[in-house]
Amino acid sequence: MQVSRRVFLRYSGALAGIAALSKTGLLSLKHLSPSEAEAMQTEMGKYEVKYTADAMCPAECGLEMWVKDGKIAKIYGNKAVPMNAGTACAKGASGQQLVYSPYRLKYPMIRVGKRGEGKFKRVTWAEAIDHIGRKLADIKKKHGAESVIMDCGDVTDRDQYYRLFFAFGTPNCTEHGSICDTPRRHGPKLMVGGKRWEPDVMRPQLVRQPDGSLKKDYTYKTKLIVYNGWNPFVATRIYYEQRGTVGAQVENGCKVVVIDPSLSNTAARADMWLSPRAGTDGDLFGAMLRYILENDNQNDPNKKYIDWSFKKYSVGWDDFEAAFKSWWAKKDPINGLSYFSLDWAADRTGLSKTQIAELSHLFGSTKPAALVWGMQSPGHHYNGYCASIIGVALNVITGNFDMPGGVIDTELVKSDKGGSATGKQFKSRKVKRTINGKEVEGEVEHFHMDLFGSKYPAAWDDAVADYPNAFKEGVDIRYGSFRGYHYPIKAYILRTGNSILTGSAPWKWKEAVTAKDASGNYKLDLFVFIDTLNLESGLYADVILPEASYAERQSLSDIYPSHQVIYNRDAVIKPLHECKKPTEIMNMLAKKLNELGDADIKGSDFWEKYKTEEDFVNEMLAPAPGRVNVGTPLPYPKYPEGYKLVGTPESLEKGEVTIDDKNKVVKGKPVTVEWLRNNNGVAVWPMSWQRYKKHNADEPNKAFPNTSTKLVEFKFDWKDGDKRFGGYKSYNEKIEKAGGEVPKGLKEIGFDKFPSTFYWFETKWNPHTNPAYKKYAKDYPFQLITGRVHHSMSGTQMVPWLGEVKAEGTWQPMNKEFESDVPEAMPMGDDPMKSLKMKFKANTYSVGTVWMNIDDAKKIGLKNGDLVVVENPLGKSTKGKIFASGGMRPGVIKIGFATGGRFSEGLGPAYKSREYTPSHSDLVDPDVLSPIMGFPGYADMIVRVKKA
Amino acid sequence: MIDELREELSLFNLLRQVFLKEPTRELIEGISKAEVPSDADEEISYGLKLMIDSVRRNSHRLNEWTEDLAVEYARLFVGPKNPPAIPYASFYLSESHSLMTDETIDVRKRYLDAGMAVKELYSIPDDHIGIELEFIYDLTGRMIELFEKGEREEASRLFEIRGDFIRGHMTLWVPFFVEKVIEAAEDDFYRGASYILKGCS
Repeated sequence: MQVSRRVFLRYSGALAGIAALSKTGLLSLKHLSPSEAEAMQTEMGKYEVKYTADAMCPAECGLEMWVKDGKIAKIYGNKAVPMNAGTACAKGASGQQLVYSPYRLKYPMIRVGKRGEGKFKRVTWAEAIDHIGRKLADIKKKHGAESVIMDCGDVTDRDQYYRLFFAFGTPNCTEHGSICDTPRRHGPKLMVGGKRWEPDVMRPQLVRQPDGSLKKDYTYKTKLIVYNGWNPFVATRIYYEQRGTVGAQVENGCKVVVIDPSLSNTAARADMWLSPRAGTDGDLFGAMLRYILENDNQNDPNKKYIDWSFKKYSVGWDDFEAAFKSWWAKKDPINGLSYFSLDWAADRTGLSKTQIAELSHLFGSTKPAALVWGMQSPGHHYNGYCASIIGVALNVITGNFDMPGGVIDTELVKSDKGGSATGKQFKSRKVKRTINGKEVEGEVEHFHMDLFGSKYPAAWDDAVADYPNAFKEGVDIRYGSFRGYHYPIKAYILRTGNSILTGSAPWKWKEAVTAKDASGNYKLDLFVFIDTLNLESGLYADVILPEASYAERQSLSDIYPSHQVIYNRDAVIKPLHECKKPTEIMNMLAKKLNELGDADIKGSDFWEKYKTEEDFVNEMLAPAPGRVNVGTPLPYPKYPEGYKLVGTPESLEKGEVTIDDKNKVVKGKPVTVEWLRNNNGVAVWPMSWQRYKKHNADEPNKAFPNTSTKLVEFKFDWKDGDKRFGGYKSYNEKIEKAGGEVPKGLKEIGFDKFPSTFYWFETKWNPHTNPAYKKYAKDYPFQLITGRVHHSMSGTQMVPWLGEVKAEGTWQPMNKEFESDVPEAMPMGDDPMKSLKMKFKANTYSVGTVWMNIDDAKKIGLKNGDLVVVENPLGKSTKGKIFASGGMRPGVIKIGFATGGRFSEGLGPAYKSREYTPSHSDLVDPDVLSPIMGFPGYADMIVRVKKA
Repeated sequence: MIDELREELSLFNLLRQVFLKEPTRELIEGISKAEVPSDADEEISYGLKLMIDSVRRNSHRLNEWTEDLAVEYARLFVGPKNPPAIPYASFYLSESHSLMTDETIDVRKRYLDAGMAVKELYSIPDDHIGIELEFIYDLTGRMIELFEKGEREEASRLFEIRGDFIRGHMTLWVPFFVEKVIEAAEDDFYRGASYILKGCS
């Protein structure tokens, strides 16, 4: 560039007429004063260490980031966080590739083409917020605030959005959990008020010693782990399970059994791999329970399966057992055998009777043990509820619940957070509506489309997969104050989620968000997409807002430990480009709505209250740890047992507390962002076990678990005198108040209310267990299952380092040759670069595959790498390349979750392989929403395969 | 010398505005009035002609076309889909093909040597094509002022910084960026701007 050496030209004359040029000052640069320049010069090159929490995947490991010149220079695991204890996986270490990706979202954008076309223009934040604010105000005026859904997609750092929309007046705020694994969590929630059960393998744990001191304990106690459809070596919500499983195996001789149709990475590490038919987890669990009940012998040490002391800490076992046993007398129409017998289970699962008996005996006789079920089994099946309920029962009656080395309900023991910052209190605001000419008053909460809707009133984690129906048909409120009220869904705010691709069948979602009314307008009036990454759903949005990445915003870890641990997700660097933090977005939108006359949104609840994001996070931290002083060893012997603990570990340890005997609370100094920063980013409180019993007596402490009776509940709805108890109580009361009107979900399975104890029903699209589908077995000989590819799922596929690495059979180097714009590395000296194109040879880059058994492949004349069409009985299909191996049960096909058919650019190489990589979601039946909580039957499908 | 610098000032002023943000209607109208100089250098002249013709072709629908250009700008350089012409130097120069790399920090140091910094430091990558062009534009303007005031020493210092920046940095990546814009642009407006940029290199 040496213009001044060129032939003399007269551009200044030619361009002189452009007035716009002459009057524009510096747009992007500024002149520094000498002192400013010197200060900047001095700062350059210095390192600063910050502690944060990953959010590239839901494990959210504690990280230590080194910042230089305002950018992340190095990423390490944070040694002070017990979840990962200083380690970081490839995903954690690749953070810079996401944060500094040239393809991330950078500016607010507004759609100019049709939904899905992907045509946008850049706008200012003021324009974008104005557009959204006006639409929301208009929708609220015409249809009510409840017509707006705030879907936070990712669970992390969502509270600002919940707060804003609860205050706006809609209870319809949701997150990823609703399309993750609700049937899997159902048993724990119903029976102990918890969520996810995991083996006690998080190490180190901070444990109170007999001399009163606290010590980090690295000892493993577990002797047996049974992972059913759970693959912690790949799908890590709980990262410590990878190291902990190996640690327990190596250091404590722990046996590991993996039950999974596919040879997962976890199965490859196991002592025993059992490969049943898909969707028969409940069958296997039922058979284990029956075997244990029938063969338990308290006088034979080798068969003393049941620890009957569990009856002291639970209620309703006799009812549960009687209901369970009542099925033994019934004959299954599919095979004529007695339910839950070994013969029956062998016929349905495809395992042998011996295998089932051996597994049952192993689990019953080995202690401590943990039976754990994952999202890829009960989690993704229509009847997963039954399996997770039996799973809870199996762990409890064998004496493994919350035992050292047993199984832990991580939800019950993790630190509390969120508090009033989440804005739950706004949901109790009184509102009025006219129903059939009559004015009715209720609370904002009573508009909840699921909890009071006609379909899934027990969907305590929402039914996101049902949204396409709601977009098209609206919501019918059938329970509670607003019974008989109908409202449309007019706005969908999607934040860090990709529901178009993964919230059940993409074709149905696309249909729903592009559906038009008689006047040619989109029925869904407003679709906003908020994210750091550009995902498929963004193509359908009207407005795109770029959110600060996890390293650029402040919040708290959202993790599942074995005791209370909480750590900062600190803002390590400034947000890049024009991305904004959730707190800023909340405040901007709140202010706009207020300016537009929304009296429900007040400055004192938003921009005046939260001047910085730290103010918000400090309020979230206020209730921490918020768990009761229970278990053995008692975490704080100097405080009363059963009292709730609040405050920093330091203040509780030092006794800098006030004790409130009336409310049973011990309150120390509040945990703050600043306190965490000064303590390696993390607060850790002591571990204890058997938290359901008194530490010095064999009787319940009545403070844990979190049920209506503070006992493990085997009954779900019962009366004791005038009082009614149980996890299904409130839902049945709703039904009764509505004159017995049965919700859609229950009707599907022939129930007229939520059951009062053990129940059973069959899954869908399974010809081996449900007679209704037997007719499809011949033409559609394969069951289709799915599972996560840890480092390559959804948004993270855009990280090239991760995309290349293969994982199990669903993510293999089977690419076609492709060319990509990959510039040469730094040229030497003054040499210009020679090439911008790079060829990736065939089979050198990992892509999503169709994983099947090698003998099945041979039978139908297929070999590795063949392009096939996978088709379901609904006429839907997807294309992919075969990966055939022995690591798959015959008759089963596995496709990774969101690994193929990625139709949006912005995901790097994944987009290039979209024509020959399969999309599992395309084969999901969108009408299979499980009856209790409306969860999509991701793994309930049968298919056939033919060469493309 | 000063006359040459004045020529360059006009060109870099145009280029920085075209590549930094979507064109305003005022800028577009201005371009429609510009004339292609007869003795122009081939590429610069060709580029200018493409731009001017493109504006004139759409003169009957300027409002709509201003919007079209905004959409085209977003598609080429911003997103949300993968922009075909990534406008950051580090994408071309770094091994990781990402943003805010050591190469970006090198650009920051060069700005600092000239007493300048990006307004949104740490947020907006310093090596965006528009910012780099603005840097050259500002240096050129300052050099003209210094020469006029007779402060030749400082002018020479800036001249050296400018020369190093162009030769030691911009020429290493701008040709590849230009090629991408020429290939991907759907309209002659940005194609023309890229020929001008090419002509300046």
